[in-house]
Amino acid sequence: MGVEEDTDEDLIQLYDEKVGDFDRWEQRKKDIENRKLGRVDGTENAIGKRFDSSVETEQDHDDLLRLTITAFGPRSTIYKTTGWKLLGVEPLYEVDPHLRNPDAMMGHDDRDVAVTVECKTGLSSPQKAIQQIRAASQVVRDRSDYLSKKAGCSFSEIEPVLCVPGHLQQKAKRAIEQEEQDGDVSQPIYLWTLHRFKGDELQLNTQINTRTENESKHNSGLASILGGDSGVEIGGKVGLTPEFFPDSHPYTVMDHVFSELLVKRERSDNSVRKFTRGEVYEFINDQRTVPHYEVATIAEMMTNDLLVKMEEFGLIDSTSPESGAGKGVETYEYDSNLVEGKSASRIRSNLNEAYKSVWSSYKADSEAKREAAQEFRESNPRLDQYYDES
Amino acid sequence: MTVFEVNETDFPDLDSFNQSLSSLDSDELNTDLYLVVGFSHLSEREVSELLRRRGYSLTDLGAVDKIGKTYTNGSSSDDETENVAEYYFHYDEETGLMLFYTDMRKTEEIESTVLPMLENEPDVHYLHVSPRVFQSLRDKIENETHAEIPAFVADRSEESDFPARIRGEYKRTIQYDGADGIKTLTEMETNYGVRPRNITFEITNKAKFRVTRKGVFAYSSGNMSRFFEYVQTAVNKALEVKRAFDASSFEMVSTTESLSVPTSEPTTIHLDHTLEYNEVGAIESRLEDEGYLVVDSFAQEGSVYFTSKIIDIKKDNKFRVEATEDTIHVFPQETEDNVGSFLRFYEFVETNIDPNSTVSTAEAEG
Repeated sequence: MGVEEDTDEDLIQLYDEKVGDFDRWEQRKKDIENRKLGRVDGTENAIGKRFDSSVETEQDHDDLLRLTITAFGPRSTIYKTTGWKLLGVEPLYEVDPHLRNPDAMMGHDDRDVAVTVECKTGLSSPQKAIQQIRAASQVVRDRSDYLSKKAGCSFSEIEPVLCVPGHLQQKAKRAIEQEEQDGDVSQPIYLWTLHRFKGDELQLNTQINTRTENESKHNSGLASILGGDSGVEIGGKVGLTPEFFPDSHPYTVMDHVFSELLVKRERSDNSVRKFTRGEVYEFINDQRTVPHYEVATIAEMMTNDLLVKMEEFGLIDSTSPESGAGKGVETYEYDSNLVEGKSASRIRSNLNEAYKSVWSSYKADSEAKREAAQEFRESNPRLDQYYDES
Repeated sequence: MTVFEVNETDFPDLDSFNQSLSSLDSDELNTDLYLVVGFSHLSEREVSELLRRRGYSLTDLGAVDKIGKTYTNGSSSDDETENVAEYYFHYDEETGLMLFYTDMRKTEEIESTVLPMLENEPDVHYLHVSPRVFQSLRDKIENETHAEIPAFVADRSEESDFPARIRGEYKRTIQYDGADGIKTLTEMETNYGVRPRNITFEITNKAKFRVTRKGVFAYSSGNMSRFFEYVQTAVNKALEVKRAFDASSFEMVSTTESLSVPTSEPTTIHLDHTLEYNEVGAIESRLEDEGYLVVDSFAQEGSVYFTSKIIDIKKDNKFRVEATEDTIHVFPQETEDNVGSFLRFYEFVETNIDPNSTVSTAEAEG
């Protein structure tokens, strides 16, 4: 087996089973870890930065999605003038969170068409984004009966949309053109652009070189309202303001849920350092929090994922129910070492810090093991062989 | 000490109460006559309930109620003494205007009872006499034939963004007494970047009164109706802000049979100066210092784009903000109005971001 063929898991396994037994390599792993976490003079906490950036990428996506669905809200100009409305956000998440679903789905009471929207805030591999849109369309098509029932609005055709912020417009356009040049595309992907700094304006892009202008337009009232010179302005108008979406970053979900829970507990006489599973579930199980047609199922899934992760990170611990609560009430408390504090604001900021810090430690640990194992292989080919044969 | 006496038991309206005050001799007043101004979104009944919950007893005198409560002060239980604070109180449910009249001491009775209530209770807030509201009073005084600002206190907070010609990095307070206050205050603002906290106005031979930033108006001498005119000017200016907020809303609206979406109509704060991306971090930490939780905040550099949910711990409310370089949209997130929370946030904006901002609603923008 060549070195370059190793997967990350192989290397971590190699470290755990062999490399870590050598004091020198264990020290090497610690050095790498400390460097990655900025604990050595002259290094920066690169892992911490990566955490911030991964949260920001998801927030950026949530924001783009929030503005896109705002354009189709029940009080929006688009709905009032064309009848096109929001049918759902992250549909089918309740069926399987790993399904390739679209971010949002729009429909019309008198049309047999659903518009499925994929929001992209980065296009580092544009062709992958195009493939995802195709896959999501297929998933929706395969479950059109189910979704028609859920949305109370039937459709058999799908118009897939790629929605990007203003600065990605040209890149997205080229990706769409590339797909059409490369092969036979029966169903065009429409391109929407959201200009956030320009008063949040949503616009249909009709200048795609592989098509006529008409082919780039929806075959509906959406063509004229989104396809004009200036599109539709959303900023400062009536907005849709959910807290988060099913697929939001767990850190974002945690921040929303626990800020609310802590403040609520601080205001009541209940202990601010404890909470119940039911409180988490109740907060999420509300369409003002998560705008999903199957919110109860989604809330169950999200509550479970969040609490499992927080327990795994050691941020919370199971505890006995508070006096007055029933025996079976699933109760937790914030970990006394990792999440200190007596006030809502202090606990909340320590909780956020601890999440980031534990995430970073896990990440640094596995990356350092991988790199140490890699170096070990390169400098000890014979031991390496021994390992392969064992 | 008790509050001054009035000679009627059933005032038909506020004007008749104000007129009865004009006939008071100055020796009938313990100190100056104080008028503390606040706002609320509550009904008349709810306001009475709030006062009772805060320990006040109410006596109905028509357009006003005489209200009073016993409070204790002193730093430890040993030197605690019981005191009484009394006011004449008027509430206008339509505008949400609250007026508390008293001649008891500002630094004692007022600062121990009504002011903390307006500051800390969720459904109310004091009239924040912002630099802009002060300016409306200063403009009015400048239009008088003979008038002056004989004294003022002005300050500058740490990390203030107000422009200052001289050493803007310093936190400072300037207390000034002098017959040329109108000009001096303007000069101090330009040079030292201070903003007024307390101004004494004097219309020569007609009236003398003070106005403080936290909505306390103090009449010292002269024609009381001239004093009320000035109070009205400040109230009108502050009501513009409240009305803009009143037009905002939040409700769940159904988009399909199985989906309702949180739908919010914002109030828009228009900034006079440009918000910069590098200011956002400092604003967030100042918000946290002032009893807000800034949740899921997201800022992008370009010009600037900032969104966040904000939980107001003090006023028991939450809202969403979306800001660009020249506007801050404030989206209510609760079905119940909470004007106290909005006024507190707007005060934060005026104090920490832009003293010259103005407000409007989405509707007004068309």
